[in-house]
Amino acid sequence: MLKLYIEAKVTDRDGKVISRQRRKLAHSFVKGWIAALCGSMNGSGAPDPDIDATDTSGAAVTLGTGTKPFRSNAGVGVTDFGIRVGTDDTAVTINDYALAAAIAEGAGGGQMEHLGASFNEVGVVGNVQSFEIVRIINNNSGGQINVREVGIYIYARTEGGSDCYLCQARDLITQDVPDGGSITITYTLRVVA
Amino acid sequence: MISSLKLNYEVVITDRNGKVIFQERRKAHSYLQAFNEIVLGGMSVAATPCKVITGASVGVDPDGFLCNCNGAIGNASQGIVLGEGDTAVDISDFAMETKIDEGVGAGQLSHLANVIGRPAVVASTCSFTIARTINNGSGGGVEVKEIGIYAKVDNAPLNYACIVRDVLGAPGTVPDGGGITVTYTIKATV
Repeated sequence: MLKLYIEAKVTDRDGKVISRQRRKLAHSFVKGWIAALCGSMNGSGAPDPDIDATDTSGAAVTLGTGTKPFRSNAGVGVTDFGIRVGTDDTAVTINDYALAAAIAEGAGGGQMEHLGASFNEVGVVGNVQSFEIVRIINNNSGGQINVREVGIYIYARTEGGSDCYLCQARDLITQDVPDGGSITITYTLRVVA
Repeated sequence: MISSLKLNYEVVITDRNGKVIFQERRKAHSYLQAFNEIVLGGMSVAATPCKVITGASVGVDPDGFLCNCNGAIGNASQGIVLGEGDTAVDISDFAMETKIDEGVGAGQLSHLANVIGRPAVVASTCSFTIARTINNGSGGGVEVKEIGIYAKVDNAPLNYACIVRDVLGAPGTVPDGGGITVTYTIKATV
């Protein structure tokens, strides 16, 4: 079984931890992850039958197999893929294709500044193998931002060979990030044999 | 409901007349270390070290059609594979314990192509299947004790890793002229 865990930490402008959600089981691989995995396992530029999905913009896409499946190593300021945060707390459903109200990149009102993703392979401990994906997102918007949802966007390829982005997971959290502060999200993917 | 990527399998053995003589349907236990390393390699776009089925450690190639399990007819190195070993599964298993080779010689089986279904949503679950039928033209019975999935981790050179391995609850013997169909279902539930 592949399990997903989520952890969040909020710091103020001085780097002091003011809020924390300790690691807990996440609830929410969504359809995009299953579609991306199916597309990758298929090994075909034009799988038969079609692998249908909805990308993070809400557009219908038909997936093929391509390079860089699951890519989520977003760089600074990149929000097409990687860990994202949002402000909506609508319950998660299997068909969610994006965060309900993703926070845009920037330093304007309601915006946040996304740093690059990092990955840590924890390795094998007992009968468990795990790795972490981490992203720090800063708030220089001039006001507090209330983060209520978190997710991972990943890269995939359409049948026509175009890039597209799918939502791998979406989870609800409650963390308020003050102006000048930041939130650090850590997802852990853990295989248990 | 806690979300995780779950795996179930079904094994059906038929005789030469198509009559079902063995069936097992269970929750699979056994994504292996290599599966998570492939996912890590894909997500991080880095050549994550992964032990392949030869026992060598290679860097997964995110540009190499990573995780392709769609082995064609006669390819017993990619997709669903069978074996005769029954040692308990360990997270670090990197291959079947005693893989059954392709062919019609003694102890061999003839692998048809893998068939990968499309994802479907039912209520709060999304799933897809990967299935393979493997026939026995060896002239004698072939006992199957383990099943698994081999996936591509690199194109050049070609390398495959064992991403799933399960030991059957009871061994099943595929009679001469018969066949075995293994279906894995991969699913997530919100």
